[in-house]
Amino acid sequence: MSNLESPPGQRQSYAREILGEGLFSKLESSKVLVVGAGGIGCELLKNLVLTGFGYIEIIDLDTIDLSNLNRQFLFQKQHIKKSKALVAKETASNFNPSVKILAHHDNVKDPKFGVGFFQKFDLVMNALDNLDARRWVNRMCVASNVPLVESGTTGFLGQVQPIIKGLTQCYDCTPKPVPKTYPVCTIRSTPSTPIHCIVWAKTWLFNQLFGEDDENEEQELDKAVADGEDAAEIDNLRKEARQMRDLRTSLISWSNEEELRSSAEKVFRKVYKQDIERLLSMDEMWKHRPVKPVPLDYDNIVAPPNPSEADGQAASVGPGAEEAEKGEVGATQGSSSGLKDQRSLSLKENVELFIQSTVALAKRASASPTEPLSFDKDDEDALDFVAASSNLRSKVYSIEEKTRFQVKEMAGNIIPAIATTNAIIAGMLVIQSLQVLKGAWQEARYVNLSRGTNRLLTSLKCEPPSRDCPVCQETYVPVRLNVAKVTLAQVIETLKKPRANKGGEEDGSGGEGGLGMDPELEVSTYEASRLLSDPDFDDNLEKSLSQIGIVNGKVLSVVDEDGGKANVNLLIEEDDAMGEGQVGLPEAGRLPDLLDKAPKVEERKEEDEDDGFVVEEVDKKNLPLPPSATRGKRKRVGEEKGVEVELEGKKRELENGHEQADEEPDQPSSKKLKGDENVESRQDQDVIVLD
Amino acid sequence: MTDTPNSVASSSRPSAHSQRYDRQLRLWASSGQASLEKSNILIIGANSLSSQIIKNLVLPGVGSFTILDDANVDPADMGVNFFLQPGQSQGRSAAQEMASLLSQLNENVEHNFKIESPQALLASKPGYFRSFSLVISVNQPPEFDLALSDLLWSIEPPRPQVPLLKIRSSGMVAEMTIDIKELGIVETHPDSIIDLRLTNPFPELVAFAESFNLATTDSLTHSHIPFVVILLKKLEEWKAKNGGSPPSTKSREEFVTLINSSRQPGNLDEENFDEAIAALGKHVWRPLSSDHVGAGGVPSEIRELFKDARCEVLSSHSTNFWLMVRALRDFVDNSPTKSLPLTGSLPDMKSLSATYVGLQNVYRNKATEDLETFTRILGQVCVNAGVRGGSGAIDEDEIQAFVKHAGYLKLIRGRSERERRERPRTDAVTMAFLDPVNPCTFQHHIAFRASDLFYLKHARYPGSSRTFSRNLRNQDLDAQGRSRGSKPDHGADGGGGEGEGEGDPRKAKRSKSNESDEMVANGEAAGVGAGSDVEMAVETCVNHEGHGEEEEEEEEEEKEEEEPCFEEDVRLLAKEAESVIKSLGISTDGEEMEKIHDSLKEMVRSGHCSLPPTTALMGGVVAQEAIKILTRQYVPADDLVIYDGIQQALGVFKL
Ligand SMILES: [Zn+2]
Repeated sequence: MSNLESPPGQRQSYAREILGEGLFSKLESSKVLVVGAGGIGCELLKNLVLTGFGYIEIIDLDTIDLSNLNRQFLFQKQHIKKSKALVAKETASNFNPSVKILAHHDNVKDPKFGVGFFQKFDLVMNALDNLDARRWVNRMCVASNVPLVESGTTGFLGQVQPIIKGLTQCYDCTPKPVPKTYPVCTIRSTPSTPIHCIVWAKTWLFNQLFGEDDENEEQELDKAVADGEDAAEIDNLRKEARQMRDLRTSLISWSNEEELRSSAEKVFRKVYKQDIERLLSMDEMWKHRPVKPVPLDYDNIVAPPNPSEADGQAASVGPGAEEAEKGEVGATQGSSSGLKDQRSLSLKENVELFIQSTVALAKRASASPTEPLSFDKDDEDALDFVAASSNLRSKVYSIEEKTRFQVKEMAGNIIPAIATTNAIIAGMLVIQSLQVLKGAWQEARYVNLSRGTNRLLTSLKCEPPSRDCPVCQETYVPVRLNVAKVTLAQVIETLKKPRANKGGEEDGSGGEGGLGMDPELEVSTYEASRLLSDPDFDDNLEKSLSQIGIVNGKVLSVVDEDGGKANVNLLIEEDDAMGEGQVGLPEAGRLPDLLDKAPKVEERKEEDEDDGFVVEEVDKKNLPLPPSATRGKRKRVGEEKGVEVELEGKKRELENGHEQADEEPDQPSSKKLKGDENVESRQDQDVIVLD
Repeated sequence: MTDTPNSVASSSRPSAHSQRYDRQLRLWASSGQASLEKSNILIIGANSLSSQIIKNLVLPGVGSFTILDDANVDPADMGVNFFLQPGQSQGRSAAQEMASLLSQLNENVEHNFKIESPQALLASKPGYFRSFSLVISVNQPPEFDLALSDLLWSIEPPRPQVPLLKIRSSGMVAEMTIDIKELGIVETHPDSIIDLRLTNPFPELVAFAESFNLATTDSLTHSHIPFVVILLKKLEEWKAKNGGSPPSTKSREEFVTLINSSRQPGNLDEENFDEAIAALGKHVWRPLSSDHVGAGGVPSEIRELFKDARCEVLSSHSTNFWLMVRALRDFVDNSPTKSLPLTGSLPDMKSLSATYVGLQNVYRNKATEDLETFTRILGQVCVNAGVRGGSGAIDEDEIQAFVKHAGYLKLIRGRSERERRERPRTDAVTMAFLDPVNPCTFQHHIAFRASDLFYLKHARYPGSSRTFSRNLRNQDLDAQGRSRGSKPDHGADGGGGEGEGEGDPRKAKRSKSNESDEMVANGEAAGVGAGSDVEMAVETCVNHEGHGEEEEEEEEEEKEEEEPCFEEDVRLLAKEAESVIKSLGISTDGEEMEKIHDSLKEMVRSGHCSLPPTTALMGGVVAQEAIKILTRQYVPADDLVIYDGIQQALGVFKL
């Protein structure tokens, strides 16, 4: 095929002519990185290939799912379950084999994609679907001084943001909202909205029965008592947890179908009857709660003495009903929709679905006992389980029930996603990339796509960096060293050495020079949020970096205890050739300046947004953030389990549509939709913290 | 898995169909999806832009699409059209190649192609064009677009109208004009459809509120009085004190004080009062200042509908929309408070569950009652109009959706291309140049119009040679072209080789590609800064002469053509623009002229070539509006959308 195609140079003749030879040849010779091969990524890859980009690398961790095919057009049915990055590359290369495309079916956060990796690119383009990876890439680009074009879409909305270190705001210059959290007792004992029940089913019950052993549970409960939550109630929860462990064992070690089913029934009896009865026995708890839960009786439901009564009027009503009627979600279309997952199940059906899905999941869990299951919205059994168990809980607490379709949206934090929006945003992404490659920073625009019919696109000049940004206002220094042969103390020592004279060393090494940090400065060190040392905690100083988990690709942050200097982040590059105690800093001419920290800014007041409808999808995975982002709260090695790091600036004012989710977050994440009414259930997120 | 045929799991899980469309069903629901799947779309012009548009229609699952074009694949289009197969598509019918490659994106979509000249077909079989639910004409000649617009505009009920989207693109700019004769949209997706009727309560709601006592000493009870009740009671209290008048704009603060006076001292758990105060703007002040709009009052836009001739004069051909608007008018007339039907939606609020359920029932029962009344009136309206089946002729779900959105209906009544040309809205044009927020994009419309006139005069587009224009516009009507077109497969698998260079003008060698190769060879490149830099472009584009030695064969063809000279074309185009400027009433001594002139230069410089980021973006914009029209959900742009990739802006105008 390739011998028949148009000669090189002719293929992109239009682009060449319109863009001009100078820019066009830049495209041909530049190296760009695309992070994400989803909805935006597919469109983007196509555009890059058509426009004449010559070298593209693409990273994506995901595999292809049926629900991707309504927009991710490089994939087809036969590709389901295959790597997005690899298939995208294959399809795009097929169109133009002369473009060099390198695909990585991998996590962009893998250490192998360190600063060294990022630095080889002229431009990075984000086509991601979660906050965590966006933050990561933003930080790597800032650290590597590589321009980034960030993007995202939600339904009809989208945005593109060019990020150039020092010239524009970076992704973290504007605070991002944190996930909504719930008090543990609300989730475990006193739910009042559908989302409480869904969170319970998805993050608690599912994990208790099939998920990773939650070693933090005890500590969480300890802390809850310490924080003044009802001690008796907490004690109950402890007991419950022990019983759950027994049930889990019986579920996983089944010998025949019947036995398994009866184990599933036991789970039902426990969580919907015994636990509820015990709760009811705590008079204190219900004194101020006029609506008490009603336990469910398995036998009565399955074989009712009086059938008409037990199968009852399925959906009870309660707060949250409005949401189902909101046009935005558009889920409930009443009788004619006929969609199987949009009908309400009767109580009996819900019970049956609970048993069936528990059995199905138990079989899978027992097939590979070492691999705990994790909730995935595209896992039908898992979704059945969460839908059934949350609705049964809603029944117990007289909370409105949700259809499976709705539960999927709430539990899976599903963001509506369509081809058209992605096409528009990916087109704009290329336009911004051209500005960046041209070096026309002043022409680059922060572009917003809104739903309004008067102004579809709004383009704004890029703001300069925020002085108090915890990411781009810090110093980043790549260091080469042998992690087994250098101690933490030696690293700090090197930083405090005076700088070598500029132009002194010809061989490119930093020679004997240091970073010129004030030797008197009291510093603490972190790896992400993990405290490694501080002036009162020196256990780790004499350990080698590898012993304290600082290996290739990690970032070692050195923080001024007095807060006068901005953090210095050392980007670790392993180099076995380096000797004992040797810390290779960049040559003197390329050594970054040490920065002062901006004066601390008062936290902005919480405000409610009153227009638009989507604010942000937040990924809860991998929070806590690096110390620079969390600032302050410190934990020592080994201590961090079970304690949620408090994030600064919980919810801040956001511009309309300024921050959005993207198409389809694939990790557990949360989103917030806003309306002008009290649509609390839509804002609810699924992280439990102790308050 | 335990899926037995009759398991609950298998009966409650979505089908593969709804799983595929899951992410979009959350935007337009199954009703929108069904409309989409019923649609059949005609796309005129097989080129890189139309392939992007079609892709975005095939993915969400339109019923069928047909590509109409008699041109063979243009080698220059090969590199920018993702839905042509290098090494295979050369020399074949572009419509056929694209249809077959695009159809692979979604097996549920039926694909067709028609290898005929659009102009010839329009002349010989106009009925063909009327058989689609939507027509999209991409980069077609101006006189064709006008004739097509006239044809589709002339369709009268009961034949369903056929909206027309006309798309033009050139380099970094593009525009879309939408001809919609009339589109009544029910599901406009407003932010909220909650209507609490606080300023205009119905008897059952008043009675419900009366059962509460704001002066109760029980703190638990007090902190769970729903905010709706608090506001109703406080409004009553205010009216009692003020001779029956509600709080005025001036007394808003006083009213807030009155609400706060009922808070229980020392009770910290009074979120319900906070909710009451937060709800004032939307549910009290707005209705009070706008004749109860948002509380059952009829918004002015809906009043306009009531006065419309189509509402007045019904017939058996009347659309469901108008039948229901008429029923709505009668409903309001019959309502004691002259209110719209109640939606019945209630927001979350702090209250006891039992209270909430009680309140919800009050609203729901009233909503149900209103729906029944409406349906009864609609039945009468249908009978009077001579619609067979009475209200039963309209789907229950459709009636329900209409009643829920009664306060948010939207009617788009557009203009035809002829009207726009003959009687443009000059006031809109003036405003277009005055947008305080966004960069102005309207000058490109003038440039497109001017290049249309240029084309009519010179048989080519500015900045582009004649063969190229012919190729782009595919408007060559010679018999040979058509007969060749109807047997597109002669090239078979041999690829482009034998099919090429047989004198078919649409095979199109000219061109752009040769020139740009030239530019490289001569090393007279534009350098960095092109694209947005018109001056730079001037230099580049003057260089349209001379040919590479290996291009001998093509040189023969090209010699027959006059090579466009940049400056000369700009001058000629500016001349054409004069009449457009005049017809639009633009003053010739303001900043507008500078913008227009820049745009004209850009038009010549880009010579109607397509640039991938532009086609990608425009492909999204066009398909998005098409989907809104087909689903009759959300509000489509009306009626001119202009994209400007240089300023990175997208303007919407009503011309
Ligand atoms: Zn920043």
